[in-house]
Amino acid sequence: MNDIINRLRDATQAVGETIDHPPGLSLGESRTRRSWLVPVAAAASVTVAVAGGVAVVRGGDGGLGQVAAAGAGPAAVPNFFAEAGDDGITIRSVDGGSETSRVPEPSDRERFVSIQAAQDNRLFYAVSASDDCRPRLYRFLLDDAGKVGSFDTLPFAPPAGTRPTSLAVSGDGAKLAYGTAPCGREPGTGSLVVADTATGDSRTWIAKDGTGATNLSMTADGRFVLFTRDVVGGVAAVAEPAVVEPSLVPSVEGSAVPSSEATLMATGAPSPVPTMTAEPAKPVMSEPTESVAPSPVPSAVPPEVPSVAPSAVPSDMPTAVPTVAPSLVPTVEAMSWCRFSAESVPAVRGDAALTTEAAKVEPGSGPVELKQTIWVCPDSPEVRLLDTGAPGDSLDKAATFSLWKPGSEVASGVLGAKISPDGTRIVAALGAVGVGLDGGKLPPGSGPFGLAAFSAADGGPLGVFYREAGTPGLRLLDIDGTGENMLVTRDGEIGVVDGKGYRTLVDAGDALVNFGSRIAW
Amino acid sequence: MIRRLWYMQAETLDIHKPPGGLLNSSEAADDTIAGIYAEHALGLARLALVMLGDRETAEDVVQEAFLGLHRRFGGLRDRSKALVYLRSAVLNNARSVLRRRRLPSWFAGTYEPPVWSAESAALLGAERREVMEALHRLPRRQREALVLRYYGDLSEEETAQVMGVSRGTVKSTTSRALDALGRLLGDAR
Repeated sequence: MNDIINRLRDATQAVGETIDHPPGLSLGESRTRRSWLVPVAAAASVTVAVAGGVAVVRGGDGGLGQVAAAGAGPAAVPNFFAEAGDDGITIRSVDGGSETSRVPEPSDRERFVSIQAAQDNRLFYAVSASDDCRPRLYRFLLDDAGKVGSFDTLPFAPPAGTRPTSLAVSGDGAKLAYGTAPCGREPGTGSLVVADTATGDSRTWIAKDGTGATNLSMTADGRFVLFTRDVVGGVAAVAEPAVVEPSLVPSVEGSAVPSSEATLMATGAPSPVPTMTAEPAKPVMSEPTESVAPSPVPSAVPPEVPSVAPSAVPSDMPTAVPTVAPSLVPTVEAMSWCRFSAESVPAVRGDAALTTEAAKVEPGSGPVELKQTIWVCPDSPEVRLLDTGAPGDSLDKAATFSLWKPGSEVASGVLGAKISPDGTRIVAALGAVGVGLDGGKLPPGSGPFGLAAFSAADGGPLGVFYREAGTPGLRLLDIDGTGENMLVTRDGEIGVVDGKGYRTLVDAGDALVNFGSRIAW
Repeated sequence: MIRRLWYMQAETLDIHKPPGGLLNSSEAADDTIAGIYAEHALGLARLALVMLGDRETAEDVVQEAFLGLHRRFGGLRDRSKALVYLRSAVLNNARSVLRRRRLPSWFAGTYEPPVWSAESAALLGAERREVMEALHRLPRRQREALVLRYYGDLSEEETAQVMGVSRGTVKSTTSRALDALGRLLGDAR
């Protein structure tokens, strides 16, 4: 018997000792907020039968024949990740983050706007936008050392007159999905396109209200595409970064801060957080000169604001702004600039009231600091899941899941949502991302963040599988082909969350940058 | 350099703590809890790990237990009672987690294998793995009793408090559990 006890002691102690320091404590997470982040026991019955291949309907601008149809290998844990940035495409090694290869931008009038890898982490696709509104698709292969081998332009392309928003690839690389937005000042609507990379055949989905799709991800079999809408209502949010709440910050630096911020945002001044522009139409870097629609919000908007978001809004979208904005934007709403839907406002208002109270309770307890944290607007909590195997060409047919529930009293939101390769789960980063204006780093103690999974069948929460507190928030960039490694960005770093937790891959330096669908593996 | 970066929408908020941050709590209570935390969090996390196998969840469970303590602190001024509460909460939360894991599709592929598994990066060796696997095949109460008694080194009385059962139950449960564990380990050989 003693032998058993000794063995038990030895084994359990050895297990216990694999934890060598206590977890961080954050009592601030209490209350209902927390309960939302905690795994939900009930209703975890996810059974999305992901069926086999789906024939791509002939159409679009495909039909250009075979394209060196090199399919991707089996799913592999990534060795490399790629970034489509200002300097073209940069390939980096997961091991140490060193650059292994680089592809310059096609020309100074054309740049890569989105990149995505097949499940083998070797076959990559990229899509470009150009000043003349003729986007193109590219494909390349990486060798074992991460060098770009063949780099080809695909013989088919997104329709002229569009600007791709985001790219997704099936596991074997045989299918691409991309969102489009109207390019330049040409009229048009957004769309979602799925193309067969071997034949160029494509099929297009359009939403009734003309909004497009962005933040795309695709299941390994290419059947389901998860995306968020290029929300028209989101444009309303752009108009009032001015909810700077002057009333709440009456005294110290009260006058200086809002305007300096506006300047920051407007000019992209030399600061780690140069351009806090609104996000709704994300890949907009291709139209840096467009200005936002004049704000319909009467009160809180300083005059600089319309210029604040020079890049965020395609000129053809703001039509819906006047109607949406007033109802969405009570002036003292702390988070109203975010793209929360209208019914979410009361919960948020409660939170705002609390913070107001706190501010009153402790007057002068460092209001200078008060203004130094920038909160990043989360994505829309609404994600859409399109079954490309279903008939029809309406984007409105896609299932809608709200990953943020009005009752949850969570004032933070979704920071990137992707579908798992097997199509059973939607993985989303939750939380609020903040960046201190001073030095671009967030002060510690900033609430809980995490990666959570939701059922792809009904959007119901399955649980949180990675959580951290007291650090700047995470944004989910991509899931690898195995579905187990999440590429994320946190506080200016690009990192991975896997079974062992978070690990930095490379310190990109610029906090707050939305890497959107421009970094992938 | 910055020109074409595109940004998430951002905004200053008039709060010195992030949304949902610590508001209006009694600082004295927080200090006391922080003291308890400093002393016991590691041990509790290890206890949770022994019960659950994966560190992430173990830490969550401990965090949750401290949140519970935080909520109930008014009625729990006695530090020793706080520790009983925390240990019970860790066991209870671990129990809920284990129940959830039995649900279909619970995080298939994303939650860590137990640290004692062959796949885990924490290499514990075959013999310890055998013990841990056997331990986790025991009925829940037997497992809890064994872990509290022989891993936690609690007395029968302390174990009884944490498990919310009588001392006699602890004694008999522990004895049956050791027999069962011995059989399981014997069988495995």
